[in-house]
Amino acid sequence: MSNQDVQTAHHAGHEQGPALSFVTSESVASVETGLIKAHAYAALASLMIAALFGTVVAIKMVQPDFLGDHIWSTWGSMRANHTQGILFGWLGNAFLAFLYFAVPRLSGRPVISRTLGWWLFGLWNIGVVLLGWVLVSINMPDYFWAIKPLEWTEFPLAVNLVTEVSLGLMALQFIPPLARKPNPDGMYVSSWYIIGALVFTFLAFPVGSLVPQLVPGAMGAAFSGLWIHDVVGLFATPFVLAITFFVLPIRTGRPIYSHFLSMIGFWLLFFSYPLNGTHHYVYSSIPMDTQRAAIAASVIMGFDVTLVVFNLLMSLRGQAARVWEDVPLRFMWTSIVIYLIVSLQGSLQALMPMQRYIHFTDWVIGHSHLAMLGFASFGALGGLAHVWERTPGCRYRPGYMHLAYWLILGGLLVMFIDLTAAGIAQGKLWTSAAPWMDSVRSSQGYWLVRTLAALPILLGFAAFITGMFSGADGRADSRQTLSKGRAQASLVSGG
Amino acid sequence: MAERGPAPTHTGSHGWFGYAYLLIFLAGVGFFLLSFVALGVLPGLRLTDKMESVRQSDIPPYTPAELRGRKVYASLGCALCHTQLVRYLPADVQRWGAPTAAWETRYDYPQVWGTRRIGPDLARETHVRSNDWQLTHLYNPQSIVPDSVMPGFPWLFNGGPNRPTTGATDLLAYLRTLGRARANDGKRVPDDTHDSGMDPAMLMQITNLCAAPFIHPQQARVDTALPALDKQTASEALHARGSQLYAQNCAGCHGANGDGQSPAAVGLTPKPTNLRLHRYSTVGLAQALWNGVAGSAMPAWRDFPVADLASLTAYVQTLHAAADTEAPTPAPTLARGATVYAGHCLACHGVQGDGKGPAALGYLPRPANFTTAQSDTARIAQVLNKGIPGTGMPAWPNLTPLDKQAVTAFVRTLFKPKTGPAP
Repeated sequence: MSNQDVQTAHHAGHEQGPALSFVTSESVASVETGLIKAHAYAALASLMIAALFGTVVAIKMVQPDFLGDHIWSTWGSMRANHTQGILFGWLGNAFLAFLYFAVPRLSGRPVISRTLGWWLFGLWNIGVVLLGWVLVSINMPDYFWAIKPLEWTEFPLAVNLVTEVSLGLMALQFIPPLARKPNPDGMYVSSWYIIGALVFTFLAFPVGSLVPQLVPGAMGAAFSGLWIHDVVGLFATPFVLAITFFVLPIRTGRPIYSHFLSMIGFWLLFFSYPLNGTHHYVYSSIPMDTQRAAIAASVIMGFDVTLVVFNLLMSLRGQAARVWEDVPLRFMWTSIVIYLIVSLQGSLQALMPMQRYIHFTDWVIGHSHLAMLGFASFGALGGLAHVWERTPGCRYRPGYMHLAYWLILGGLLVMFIDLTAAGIAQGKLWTSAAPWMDSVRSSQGYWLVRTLAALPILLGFAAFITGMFSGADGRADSRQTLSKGRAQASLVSGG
Repeated sequence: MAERGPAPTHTGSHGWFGYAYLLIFLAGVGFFLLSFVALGVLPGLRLTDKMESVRQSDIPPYTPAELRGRKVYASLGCALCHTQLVRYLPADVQRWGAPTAAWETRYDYPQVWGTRRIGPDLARETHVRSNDWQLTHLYNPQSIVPDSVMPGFPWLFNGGPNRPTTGATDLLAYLRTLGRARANDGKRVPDDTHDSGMDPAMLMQITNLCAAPFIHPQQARVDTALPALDKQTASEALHARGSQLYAQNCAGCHGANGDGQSPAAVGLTPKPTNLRLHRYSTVGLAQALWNGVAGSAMPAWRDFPVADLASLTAYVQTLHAAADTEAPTPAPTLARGATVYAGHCLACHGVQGDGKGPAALGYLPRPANFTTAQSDTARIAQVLNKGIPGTGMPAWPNLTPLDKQAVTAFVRTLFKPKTGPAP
């Protein structure tokens, strides 16, 4: 295919509706540009709001009186709104935006229905994110409408019901195009992860949200533990990997290093991640061999991630300059590296000797921020930037994006190091004879630093959003970047 | 080379029966079911046996009020900062008592084990603190624990810690249930660890810890065992440490300068003691610090290093505002005071004034011990006129002013500032 053709093909893909096949570069399916944009806007708005909730939580740990007079702004509600907002509002919408962009390209056919898409958009954003935030703020005591004390599913059961319906609609919208008849060249890695994540999350969500309401105490906790890990390991992780496997070869113009490693990585992930759950309740009354099995699976997970990351980084070898200057690639590369760090950390901290000291401490909070902000959000931000650059009427301004990168990364690293140190200090005091309040007092300095770290992160998000909305006259810039990539041309010549 | 899936022959011609369905059924459904059964259902079956191994009479179900309180606990996010999970670890057991057994959680829909411990674990909270302490702390935590980062819940109250709504009293009722079954049970040994496959040495350590009765170090108790808190040499460092400890732990209730005037005092009955109006012997303060004052909001501080308690004792002794010595009282007045004392006070406060009269056991808090604390004359007059609300001490309107004056002087002579620590 000549350069001229590629240029034409790009125009066809971006301006006139149909997408180019990811594999053959043929024009094969139409893309719901409106839905991409709507989910991207919702994602960015939710990111900002949920990050502000998180900042309020951090401030309250330094200044407990801050916004302390009302039930809607109490610490517990703000934290529920923070974590659920990040999960459903930010990551959920970012993944949906990516799916509307990628699924037609991966499958060669459009998603099931535009109307379904808008229903899903409404349900997800009004029925899950907004309703969740509102119900948490109202804080009704009734079973169906009440905040749940369960990690990663604090939104009330009423919201969970809408969430489950939406997850079902997501599966309906995106799986059939991918599953029905793959491209002539077969299914691409991203499709595996998308299908796996959609099916798995639809099944796993009720396990975390509903089962602990039906089975008591320790038994329910075993199921809670599953969801605590599934939400990160089988919702966030596969979608971010789907983005990564999609964006990397497009932007570098080079294929993934090893198809064999891609396969091993995928199957080992789906085998071992779900078996990690009980590592959240080590040394509890859940049978010890169950705990040990989960710990073993957590170690296998570390090996698996090492393989996946090796495969991805090898795909980027010799591309340092491009990774450095290209906005989506830089975000993706950071996501990959942090994926390795956070997963090895996860394997390490699942081990019993570590659990004795760091469980229940801020170490774990540092770990979860490294996972959800460092790995998942950097991946989603990179993916969103890639989508933005190739969606009609949407361009970003690279300067803001680079600024955003440094601000978010800087804030994250300060927060991560600070909370990890805090966790070690807390664990040390808890195993000593010191009075409990000593651990609170010694944490206060760390909590202050963590609160200050929110500032660069918030500014970074603001810079990213500004970049996303100020690219209209930077259009020429991003086209230039695009033609440098020339990914599809290479793919075609290679495949 | 471009990235490829399985060869086209595998998928291209099969349409609906391609590789995608392997992903759906193995990755999506199969591995989900594997984890659901292996880590959820199978341990669940074994936990069912454990949970039902305990008779229902040993662990009564929640009352409606306790259940409502549990909902308040869940929706306010208490479980986000407070675990209810004493792990099978020596450090946990040492601090909180017996590990949380599965059977203790049999009515918990949903579970509230929690995953973060910013505040203390609450699995054994049942008798640790008094009700008025709990309510005041819920209303404004910093008023009672100055360095706490816990949020207050003023909307559970009608304007003050002493005016709780049903939301607050329900929550309190629920907090009283935490660890109740374990406390009633008496079975200290964690019987459900035998099949645990835990490190035997650690299990032995836990079993040994559990063999001795556990009383939370902050739980007030009626006890006479005391550490020796005699100050070494009074020094500036000692005073500074005592002052710091006082500000961190005592000022919330007793006031920054010890006068008992504090926001927390509104919600507490009996009121926090005005430390400026009393002269305490070292034994008197050791008793209050080590054992707390059962029947009041004054917790015990047995989790503090003895050196810190000694510093605190030395510091609190300096809070007494009046001079420690004064002119002696004439003998006839003392004789009259002794007579009044024998007639009105002795039954509770005892022959020696040590608070161990024959009727003392009927009261919590226990009657004041005049040998270890000497109240100022004005304070005694106030007590005789008004009694001490929240204790067994009544007002004595029928005593003549002269009698009151005499008994006041007599009671003050019972003080023994130099007594050594109790054996």
